[in-house]
Amino acid sequence: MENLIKEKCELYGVDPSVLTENELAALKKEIEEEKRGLRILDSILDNPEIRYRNLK
Amino acid sequence: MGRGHGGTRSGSGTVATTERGLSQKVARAVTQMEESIRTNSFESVHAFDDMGNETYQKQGSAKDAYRVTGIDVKMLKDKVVTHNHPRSLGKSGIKSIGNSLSPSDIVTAVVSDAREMRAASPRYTFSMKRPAGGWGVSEKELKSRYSSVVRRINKLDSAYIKSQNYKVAAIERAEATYWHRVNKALAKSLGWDYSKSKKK
Repeated sequence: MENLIKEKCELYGVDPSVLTENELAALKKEIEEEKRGLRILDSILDNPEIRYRNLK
Repeated sequence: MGRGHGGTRSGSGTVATTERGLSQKVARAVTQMEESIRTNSFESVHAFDDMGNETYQKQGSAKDAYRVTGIDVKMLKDKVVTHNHPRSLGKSGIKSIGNSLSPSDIVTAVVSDAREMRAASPRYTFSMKRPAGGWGVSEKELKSRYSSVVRRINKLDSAYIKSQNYKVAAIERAEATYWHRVNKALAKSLGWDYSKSKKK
């Protein structure tokens, strides 16, 4: 799972260390769905505020 | 950073760049749907065939308002797919633009071989159209291309934000236009047709 989280964060250009516990849980749920062959439109990682939250 | 696209003048009036290439019937059906969902507080996805018939729809939940999960990709093949992006609802200034298409939107379009993927925020519509010869990339190649584009944009943003002394306005500008700039760069690198238009 850690690798899949890293891979997904890389796709979205997000550092996994900035994610909150809730965001991480939602991301794991997305990954589980994708493993079952289902797709999502939009991800918890879309939120533009995640990317630069450490700079504010 | 990204400026909006306008429309192009045709014999019958102004056609928004996002509606280029669609028959009048399909454009009408899709844009009417977008007008009805763009200010919804939860996300929903709708697919249309070549006759403008809605052939698939799925809604997000109030609890999970910014995503639609469990999409059946078989239902999207050759369809014009649209959905709303409610995240910017109620926001003002540059944040009210709303997100352009996300990587999962585009990956879903490619995997399902959809004809077009669109997203409607309260103020804008964003579109990525499948080229005549097909999307031309595998899911793996697309993800790799995305990663490379986001790394490049992140680098540019870091330099821009630093040059602006980490002002919140600069960060918000980078955030608000992020996926638009990523999609523009991605489309350019793959020869795809990406556009956005302001709500009329």
